[in-house]
Amino acid sequence: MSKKTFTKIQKTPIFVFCEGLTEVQLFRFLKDHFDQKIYVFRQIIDLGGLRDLAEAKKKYRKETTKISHKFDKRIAYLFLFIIDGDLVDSLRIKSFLSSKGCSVEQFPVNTEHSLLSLVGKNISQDVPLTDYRSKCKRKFKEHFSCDADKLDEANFKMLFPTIDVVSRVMPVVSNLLRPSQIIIID
Amino acid sequence: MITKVTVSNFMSIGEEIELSFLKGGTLPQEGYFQYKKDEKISLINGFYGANASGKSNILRAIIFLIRMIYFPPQQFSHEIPFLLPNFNNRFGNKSSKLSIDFLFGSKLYAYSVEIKNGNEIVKESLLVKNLKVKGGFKEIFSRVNNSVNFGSDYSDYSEYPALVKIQKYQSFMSHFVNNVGATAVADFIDNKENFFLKSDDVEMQQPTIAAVMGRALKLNILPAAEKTKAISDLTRLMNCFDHSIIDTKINNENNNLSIQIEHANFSRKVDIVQESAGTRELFAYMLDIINVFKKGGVVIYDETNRYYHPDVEIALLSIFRKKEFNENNAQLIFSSHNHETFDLLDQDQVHIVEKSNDSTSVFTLDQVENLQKRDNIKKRYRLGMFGGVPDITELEYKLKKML
Repeated sequence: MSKKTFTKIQKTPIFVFCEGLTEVQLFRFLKDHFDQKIYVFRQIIDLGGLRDLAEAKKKYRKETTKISHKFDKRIAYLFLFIIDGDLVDSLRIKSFLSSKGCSVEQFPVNTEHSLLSLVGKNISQDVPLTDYRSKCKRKFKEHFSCDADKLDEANFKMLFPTIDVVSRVMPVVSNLLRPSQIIIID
Repeated sequence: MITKVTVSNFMSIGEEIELSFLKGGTLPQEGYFQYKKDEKISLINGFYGANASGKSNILRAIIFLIRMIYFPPQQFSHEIPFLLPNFNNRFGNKSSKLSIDFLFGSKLYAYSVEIKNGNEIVKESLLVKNLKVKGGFKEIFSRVNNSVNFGSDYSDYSEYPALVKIQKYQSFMSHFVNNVGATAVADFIDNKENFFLKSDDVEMQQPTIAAVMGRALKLNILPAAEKTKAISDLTRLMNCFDHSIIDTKINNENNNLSIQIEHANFSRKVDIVQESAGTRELFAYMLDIINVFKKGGVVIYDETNRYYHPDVEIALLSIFRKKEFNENNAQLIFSSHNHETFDLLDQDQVHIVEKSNDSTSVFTLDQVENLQKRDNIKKRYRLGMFGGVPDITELEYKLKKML
C-alpha cells in the first residue's frame, strides 16, 4: 500500500474588508508583491465608506452574514478590516471589530496621510478633525497629481519598496502577508 | 485497473509525483474494488485544480504510459510520440521517469520507463507479481539502452530482442505486446481494447469534430446488424440531452462522410456539426465508454465538465461508483473543474493539483490535516483552504491595471 507521508495543512481563509477603493487598490498591490501565501485571501470587499459606528456595525453584519451563508459557518475565517482613523467614532469602530474577533488595520489618520508620510510629507492637523480628511486628500492630490484610488503601480512600488516599509505603516497587513518568524536566541 | 503511477520530468511535472489508487481496509466499499483481503482499488478518481496547475498533464502522463505499451512500434518513427519533458531549466538535464502498475485478474504488473534527452529510452522494465502465489515481483524483462534481458522464468524470449532491432526511441514493450503476442504479456493483449483515453492532444485541438467523424467511421465498418444496434443505442443516449432526437443517419457515399440527426417535428435532418457540443461529445465517446463498462477497463477522461451540464456530468461519473452499473469494475480517472463532483468521491479519491516552484504537485484530501468526514469539503475547497484554486484577487488586480 502506498505510504502517504506528506500532510497538507489547511490554510485560513481571510476576507479583507476595505473602507474604500483606495484601501482596495493598496491591499491588492501589497498582496501581489509581498504575499507569501501562508493564508489565502479569498475576497476583497469594498465597504464603500464608513461614517460612524452605527454604519460600521450595519455593514459588518450585512457582509459577514453574506459570507456565512455562502460558505460554512463552522469554518474559522479571519476578517481583516483596513480602515481610516479620522472619524469621531474611529476608536469605537476598532474596538467593536476587535470584540468580534476581527483583525483591524486602522491608519492613525487615513490612507492618504500614511502614504504621504512615506515621502516625508506630514500634514499638520491645523483644522478640525471633520475637515482633516479633506485636507489630506487635497495634499495627496497636490503631491501625486491624482486621487489615492488612482495611484499607479509605479507610485506604489516607490512607496513600498520592501516589506519592512509595509510593516512600519501597516503592521497587521504586513504580518498576514509575511508572518514574522520566531527567532530563538540561545 | 491502474493501481499506482509515478511521474517525473514530464510536461509541467518536475519533481516526482506519485498517484496511488489504493486504499487499505478489509470492508468492501462502494466505488472500490476489493482486490485483496486488506486492500482495495479506487474505481473513480478525480483531479481538481486551477487552470494551468497540471491536471491534464497528469492524465497525459498516464495516457503516455499506456501508449508506450500499446502503440505499434512503427508509430515510434524517429521519435517518442507525445513525450514532452519539463522545459524548466531546473529539470533540463534530468531524465523523464514514468511508471505504472496494473492489476489484470490476479496479476499485478509494474511497467517503468526512463527517457533521456526527450527521445532516448535508457531504461525500461516489466515486472509481475501473482497475487495467488507467495513472493514478490518477478522480472519479465529489463532494458538498459538497447540491450534487453529477460527474467529467469521468461528466458524463452531471449532471442527476440536481436530479431527486432529496437531503436533508442522505440518502446520494447510495444514490440512485445504488438508483434510477439507473447503469453508473458497476454493480459495486456487481452485488455488492449479496454482503455478509453480522452485528452485534447489526441484530436489535435479539434476535440469534438474529429472524434465525431472517427466514431462515424468506426460505426460504418461494423456489420450491418451491429451498426444498426450501435446507432440505435447512440440515438437513445443523445435523446437524453435533446428529447427531440429520434434518429441518426451515417452516410459514406463516395467517401463523403456525413452524420445527420433527425429531430421530431423538424422539416429536415440536421448535420451533427450543427448540434450542441454536448451532443457531439456524447456521439463521439459514449459507445467506447459503455464498452469499458461491459468488459471492464480504464477510462481516462480529461475535463469531464467541458461540454456537459453539471448534473449530466455527475450522473455519468456516478455510474462508475454504482455496482449496479459497474459490475465489471471499470475504473475512471478524470479531471474536472466542477467541485460538485466531490460528492461522488471519498477523500482519498479527490486529488488536488497545484503548481508550486514551477512544478506540478498533487495530494489527496485524506492527506489534509484535521479534515473530518463531516466537513463540507466543497466549501473548504472553494475557499482555497487546500490550495488548487485560482487566485481571484490577483486576477482582479492585474485586470484593473489593464483597464
